Amino acid sequence: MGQYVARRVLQAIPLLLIITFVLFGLIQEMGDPLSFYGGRGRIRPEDRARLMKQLGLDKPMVVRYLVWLKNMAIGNWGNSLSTRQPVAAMIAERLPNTLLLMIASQIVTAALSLFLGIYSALRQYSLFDNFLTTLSLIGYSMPVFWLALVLIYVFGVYFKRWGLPYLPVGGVYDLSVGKTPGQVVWHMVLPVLTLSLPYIAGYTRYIRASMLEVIGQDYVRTARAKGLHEHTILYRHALKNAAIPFVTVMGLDLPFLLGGAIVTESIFAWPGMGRLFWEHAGKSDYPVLMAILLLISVSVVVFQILTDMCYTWLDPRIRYS
Amino acid sequence: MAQAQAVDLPVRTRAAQTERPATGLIQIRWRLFQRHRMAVLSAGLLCLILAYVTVGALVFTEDYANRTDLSKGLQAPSWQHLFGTDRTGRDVLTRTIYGGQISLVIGLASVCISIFIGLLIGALSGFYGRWIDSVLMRFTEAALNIPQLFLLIVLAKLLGSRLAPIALFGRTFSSSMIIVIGIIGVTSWMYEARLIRANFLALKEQEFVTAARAVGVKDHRIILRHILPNTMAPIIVSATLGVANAILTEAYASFLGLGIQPPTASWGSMLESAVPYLQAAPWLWIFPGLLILLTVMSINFLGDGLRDALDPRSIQQ
Repeated sequence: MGQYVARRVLQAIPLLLIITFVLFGLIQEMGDPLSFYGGRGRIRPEDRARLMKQLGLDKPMVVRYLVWLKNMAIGNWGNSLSTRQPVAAMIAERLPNTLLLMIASQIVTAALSLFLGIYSALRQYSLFDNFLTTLSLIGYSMPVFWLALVLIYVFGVYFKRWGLPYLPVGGVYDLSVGKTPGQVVWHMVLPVLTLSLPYIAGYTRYIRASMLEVIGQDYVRTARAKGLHEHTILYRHALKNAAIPFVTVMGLDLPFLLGGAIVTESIFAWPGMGRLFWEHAGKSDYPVLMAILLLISVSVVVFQILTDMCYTWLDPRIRYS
Repeated sequence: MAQAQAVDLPVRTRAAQTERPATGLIQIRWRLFQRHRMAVLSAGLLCLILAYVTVGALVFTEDYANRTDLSKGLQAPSWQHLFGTDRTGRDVLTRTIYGGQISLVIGLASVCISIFIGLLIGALSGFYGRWIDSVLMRFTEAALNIPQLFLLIVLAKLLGSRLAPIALFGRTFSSSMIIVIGIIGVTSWMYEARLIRANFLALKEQEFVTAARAVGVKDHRIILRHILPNTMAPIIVSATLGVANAILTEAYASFLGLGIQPPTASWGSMLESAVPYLQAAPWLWIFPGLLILLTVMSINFLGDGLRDALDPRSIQQ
């Protein structure tokens, strides 16, 4: 197993080098990192030349890439080109917000979709099943930001109008109350709902499908014939096999959540990673952008390895050597 | 992310037992498709949406869609303006008609691009194997490692509006449309490539390919005339679902202000410009959003139905 992980990590290194090199090249041309230096006026040509030299922007792309790579390798994330703040600090400030949102929405998603998927698979073609299948396809087809607008309109605007306890529609906490856990949770309700509903729709379909496939198999019948409790059959025998495709999708989706949800974070004014990326995208601020993209790429690799490990636990027949 | 429909089991109704046995293959496919009631309904709904954006354009001119009248700004839906008016007094209904054309064209065109790239990479990789396969698949993995929206932002900012507007079908499209189509196509071919590779891998070992080789058929002909037709069904399904995803992606891009530039509208850009009026003028975002939802949903249902109808395993039942 250790050997297998080591091999996977070694294989990932050239992959990450290619990804970072290509992205680095693309990001250079995205915008002008010096556009904010002149304040309101235009930056003078001689100042621009001086700044470019100071920031190392006058060197060829490949040289800059190698310098960046060397710095990353020794753990120096560099400073933002536009704000001069250290990138590591910027990310450390945003990442917890994103993680909070993402972990909460993943827990909600996993719990609800497992429940709904299994429940609906056990009642195949019933009214509930047909209703849920249709509903999940609708949820799957919904643009997330539109869902966010609807939720804001109903729970933020209309609830307020009707005098019901309405939900906050932006930010992490109420400035007048301060950052208490209760406030943060209260502010998380709508973003978490927005993020989870489409995922719940997608995952429910997966779980229902794989559960149906597994329930029909011989070993489940054997378990029934042995007189096992229905509960044990479902959750100890069937679910473990049925969970494999589910784990695969989760493993693919989870690392992307680290990058935050650009759109959802923008709508709900949630200071997370997605917004950080978006705020610096127009300025070609490569230290910040590359750090975020690298973080995502690395976690994709890590999660793929974790997913593979998970398989061996779910299905002991799967072995890696 | 991964196409969630890929492993889903079909929703079948049990009306089929009394049917007379179908004879032709197309007839069988059609019967199977019909059993999927939601898919049939969706196909009808999709036709209605297509009629909406085409016939609607014959009723209202594009000039009318872009005509501003500040004295009529932000009017709620009425008989005169069924979907209300926006801040500058433009008729929202007419704008959803023309915006819908853009959204649908982007959806279709970008899928053509992504299928083309996916086919190229998947076919070469699956057919030739060995180092071509490893190189192309590593490349595919690299592309999959970055979330689509991030890649899309990078490319959109990179290309900006460096192209000139083009005229097509008597309408002038801003260059942003070409860029959006290209970008969505270039960022969404990876699943198609993997799917097509997997099919090619399986099919190239079959006897009919060996037979074709034995009589000296050239490689490109084997790929295009022998293997490709046999893998059409999953490609059609994946392309159908791809259109739905592309329409959604366009909406996201437009929502971030990266998509279609004014005065041309798309459903996504209409939503984006409606955000400041979330509370004051809900009709600005409700209607374009509903249209996106209905379109994407019916395409998804259609794709589901097509999969059931085209899946060779479902014929034996």
